[in-house]
Amino acid sequence: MRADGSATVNGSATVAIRMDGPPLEGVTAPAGGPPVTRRPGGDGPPGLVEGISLAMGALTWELAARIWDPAWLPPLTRVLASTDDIVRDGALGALSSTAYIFVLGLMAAMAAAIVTTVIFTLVPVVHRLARPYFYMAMAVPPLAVVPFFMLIWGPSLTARVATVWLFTYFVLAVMATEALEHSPRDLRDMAFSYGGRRLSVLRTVAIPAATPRLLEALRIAVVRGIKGAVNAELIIGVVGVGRLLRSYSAGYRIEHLYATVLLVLVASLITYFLIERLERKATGWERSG
Amino acid sequence: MLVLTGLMVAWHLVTTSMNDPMFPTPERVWQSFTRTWNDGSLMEAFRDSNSALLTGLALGVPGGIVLGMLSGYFRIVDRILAPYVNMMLVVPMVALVPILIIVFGLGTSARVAVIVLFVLPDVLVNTRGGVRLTDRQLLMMARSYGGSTLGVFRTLLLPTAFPSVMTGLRIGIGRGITGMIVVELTLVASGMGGFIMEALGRFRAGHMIVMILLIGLEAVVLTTLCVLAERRVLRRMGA
Repeated sequence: MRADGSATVNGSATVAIRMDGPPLEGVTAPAGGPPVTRRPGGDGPPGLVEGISLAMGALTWELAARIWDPAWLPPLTRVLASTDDIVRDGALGALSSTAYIFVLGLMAAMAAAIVTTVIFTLVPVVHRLARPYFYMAMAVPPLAVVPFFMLIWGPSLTARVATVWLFTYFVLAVMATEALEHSPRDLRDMAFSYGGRRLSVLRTVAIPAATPRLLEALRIAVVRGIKGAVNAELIIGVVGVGRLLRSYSAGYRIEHLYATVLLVLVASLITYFLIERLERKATGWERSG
Repeated sequence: MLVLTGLMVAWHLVTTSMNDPMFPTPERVWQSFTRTWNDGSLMEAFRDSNSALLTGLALGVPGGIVLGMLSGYFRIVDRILAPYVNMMLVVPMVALVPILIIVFGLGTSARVAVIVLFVLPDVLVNTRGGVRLTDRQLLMMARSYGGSTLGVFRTLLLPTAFPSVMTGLRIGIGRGITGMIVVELTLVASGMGGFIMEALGRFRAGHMIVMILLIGLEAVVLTTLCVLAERRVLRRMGA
């Protein structure tokens, strides 16, 4: 894991990312280094240009929908007005159902990733043997496996939780193992020289030193987990947000469809910013030096 | 190789002892492969999906590179695009699929649009990151020698950002395959996703596993090819 927050997961693939935007699904992005000299015109109070950009986007949406009036684009005001309807249709319940499978899947993935990481760290030969398959698993779209879960478990809670698990487990296990492997070697050597056992060195030295990277892994897993939960519900389609999206889409209730998408968007962003805040709070000591 | 052999043996032993049609043995999966290969359905689904994938990549990758270069170089462009790019990275894009289907219909264009939407943000963010790595002194020197904006982009920014662009491409390909599968599994039952859904409807676990393995293989092969191409070009560039 490099200081810029990106982590090399194998020779060439970089997993986990952190740039000045929200970090990303699955991977990448070099950051840091001397910044390019920018052209003037982009400076201003933080958030001002971004806010204006969003406001202009919303205004363009509203005007385009009113002037052009395409069947597929309702005015933003009508979409916002239909929020009441989707709440009456059980949108909040659907959202909590999605949140429920997200939390269950993420917890299961965290538990499995902790066990995997401890085994990989304590028995490096197992890590060496399993590593190529973990990288391969990360390259494969987990979504392709969802129908197989449906075949085994039907459109059940288990199938949806398993989907979230699949979206989050590998990234957690790989990044956590990388984080522990890259914890300061001098500290670990010192602990060993004072008679520390592998497990106690892991618990008292490696894990605390790797905390920022572990939280980063959690943040990326949260983003992937949200995607996994919505994907699972849209494919399995009998409950939660997926059911709402499917029913509004099938009934051609465009305003309601857009309102549901906006609801998912807002819920995802709130979850993301909460976990980012938690991460910043927990790793403040690292930034303060 | 030893691990792979061990996994195959374990798969065989477990599925044989379970004797459950939902968990086919490797032999049954092989039979499913030969059957779908011989009747052409496997390749037909593969071709169908990949034509959409190629079109999506052909639109999404250059689009991501251009926007990434612009937002890496011009601060104002970066700040204008930032809220939308960040949203695209955090929010499950699958939620937009029903809207895109309504906009574009159930044809190839909807699938291509979904793939573009999945590919573009990752390519953009990586390219932007690569441009930001450009050495400030080199940039100032290029300008002081009268380099035009286009010339600076072509001769300095693009070569500097190349490794990041390739990383973005590699991730974009993976995301593109995900987008391709998403739309085919959810609303447009055709191609590889449609093949899987049809196998699900007929309880053909063997067919389903064949396609899942093929999708995984495609993702790994394309990613590996990308890595090899990147190394080759970097070697030629003397990096």
